[in-house]
Amino acid sequence: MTSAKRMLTGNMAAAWGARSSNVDYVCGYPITPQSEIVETLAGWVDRGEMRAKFTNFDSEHSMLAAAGAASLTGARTFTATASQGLIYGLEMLYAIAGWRAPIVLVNVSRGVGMPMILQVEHGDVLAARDSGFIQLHAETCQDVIDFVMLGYRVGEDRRVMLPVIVNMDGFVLSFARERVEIPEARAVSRFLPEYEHPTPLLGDPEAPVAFSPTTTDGFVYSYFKHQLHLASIESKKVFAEAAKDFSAAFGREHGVVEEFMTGDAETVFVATNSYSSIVRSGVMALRREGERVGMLRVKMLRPFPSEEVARALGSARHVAVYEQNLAPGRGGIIYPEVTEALYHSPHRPEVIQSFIGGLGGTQLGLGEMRLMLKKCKASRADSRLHEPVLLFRKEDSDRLAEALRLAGTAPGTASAVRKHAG
Amino acid sequence: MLRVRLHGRGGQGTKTAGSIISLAATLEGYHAQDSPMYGPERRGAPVASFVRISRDQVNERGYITSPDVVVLFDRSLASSKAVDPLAGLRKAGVLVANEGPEGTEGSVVRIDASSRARRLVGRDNVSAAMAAATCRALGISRVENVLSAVETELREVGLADQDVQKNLALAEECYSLVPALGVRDQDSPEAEHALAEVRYAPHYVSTSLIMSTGNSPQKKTGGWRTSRPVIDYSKCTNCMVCFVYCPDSAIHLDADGAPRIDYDNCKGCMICLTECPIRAVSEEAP
Repeated sequence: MTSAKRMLTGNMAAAWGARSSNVDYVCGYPITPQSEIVETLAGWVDRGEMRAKFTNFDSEHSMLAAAGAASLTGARTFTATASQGLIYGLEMLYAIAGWRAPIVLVNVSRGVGMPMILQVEHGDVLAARDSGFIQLHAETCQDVIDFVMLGYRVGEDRRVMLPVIVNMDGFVLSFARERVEIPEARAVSRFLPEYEHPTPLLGDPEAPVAFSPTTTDGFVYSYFKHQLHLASIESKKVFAEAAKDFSAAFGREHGVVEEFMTGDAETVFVATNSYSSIVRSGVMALRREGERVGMLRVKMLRPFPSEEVARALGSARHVAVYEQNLAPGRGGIIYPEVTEALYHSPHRPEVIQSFIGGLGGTQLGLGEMRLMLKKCKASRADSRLHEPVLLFRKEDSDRLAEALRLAGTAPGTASAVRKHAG
Repeated sequence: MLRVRLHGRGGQGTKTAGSIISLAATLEGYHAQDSPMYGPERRGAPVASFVRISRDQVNERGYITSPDVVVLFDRSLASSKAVDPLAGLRKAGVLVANEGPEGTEGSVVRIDASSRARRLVGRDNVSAAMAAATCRALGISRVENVLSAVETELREVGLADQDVQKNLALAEECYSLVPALGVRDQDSPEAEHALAEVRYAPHYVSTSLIMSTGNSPQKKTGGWRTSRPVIDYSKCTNCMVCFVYCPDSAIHLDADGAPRIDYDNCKGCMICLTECPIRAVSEEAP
């Protein structure tokens, strides 16, 4: 395989990430918008274009159980899912992390019903934030392929031994094609050494091992849980080393965060995933109008890069946290993490405002960017509480009114009045 | 940045045409991004795809609401309020339409891609034809790169060698028929959208439930049709075979027992044509 640039969807990039990383085992179960990944890998394995074993499972729960176990035997293991599938397998995510099994799982973000939706929202991947998986969130199709390789390199490092989720946005990235560089096999072999588990399951029959027995003792549980935390913290250092080698091998830079025009910025937008592209173009447009704005893109969500976030936002007056998830009763999930990172900073911004948008793939544009900027400037440092602001377009509001009318639930419609009079 | 929005019906090659245009642009050194609209995809249902072409990195994503170019694969979509293909088209924007009579007036390019495809390829799939015409009108790619993109993308979707060759001839012909209008790169971003405030609503509004049961007749499925079955009543014997076989109950019997097609809901599956024992049903344009 030689280095080649091709138009690939995010899903195809994920499949190429697995293929380029020479994975031994692929566990699959279809779900929109992820199916293209496992379909592609299944085809390659079937036609002998990829030397790996592929198994299609009966559910995401079984799929993840097998993925974790396979990884413990010393097989480099890849899997992918989305939304309800990730949530259905959530129990196993904690198990895989507890086993310290360094699989890579690509999650193609999709809203979690109800109402049922196929388009993007980050409630799925963020529900897995406390499982112990490292999380890398992709902006571009190239990121997807890069993060799969970086994921194996960091996760399999003996100082880490943790599983990794690579996240990409459903539809917006999973089905969008961009020019992607598929890495050259020789460069990959320099960057990503062969995976060997130090104490493999089913390794030496004379010296068998067992993973994660049940315990009734809190001190045992407490010790290993804390070790998981320390491993995650350790992965940041290892990621920095890996990123350096990655740059040398492939010429692309990856940090745990990306700063864009933050240097002299008064207002910084915090963003993740593919909508970061739109925020970047919005920042450029607002700069042309003389606004001092910038963007901080968080690429690594776990471990959360608090120091890097605090450093990047330390000189800003206003911080607008834009996120595509909504925890009912709380608001954005990333907002408190950014706020906490800044609380201990000597230069705390005057305003940290939470914005929720892009839920179910609703769009983001310059209008929204302008509104966020305006709200930040109008917000006073001493205002009591920064409630999350939902970014909802007027035209979507009109379409919603029509949908409610059709459903017979619009305020004042006949069926609503009939059934709810009194 | 050039923003291209393609509107067609499932099966006409709308997505593939987007892929061809973006690949052709990258072969000329542009940055490009293409993506389809996904919904409940069905053959014949309205679909769309999107292409962004830029000299710099493409920093936009998702659907295109203010395109520089609209490519219309099916003239029957032009009047569809639900599709509204020209929505948001910029002032200096270009329309490339699959319809006759052929010719270019101002910023409207008409090419009868369907007839040409039927003649050269043997079927009405116009992905290569419309992509080639669009690339030419935009002046973004030389013919050799357009043909290279057609070949790559059609092989990618599994077309046999001979069909690829026929499509290459079709693409070359359509490319040569269209003048290069050279649409100017737009620096201005997509139109800005006003925002609305969302307030808490009573339970029956704020819960995703449907109270007006039996509302599916309000969804007219006739818009999915790519062919229209027409009954020749001079031949029809009122045998009721079409009435029985219609999978969507879109054929009813009138007072005299003659079959009547409900074109608001007929999806154009043509099962009635296949089943009619005396060949009294013909296939016409949607």
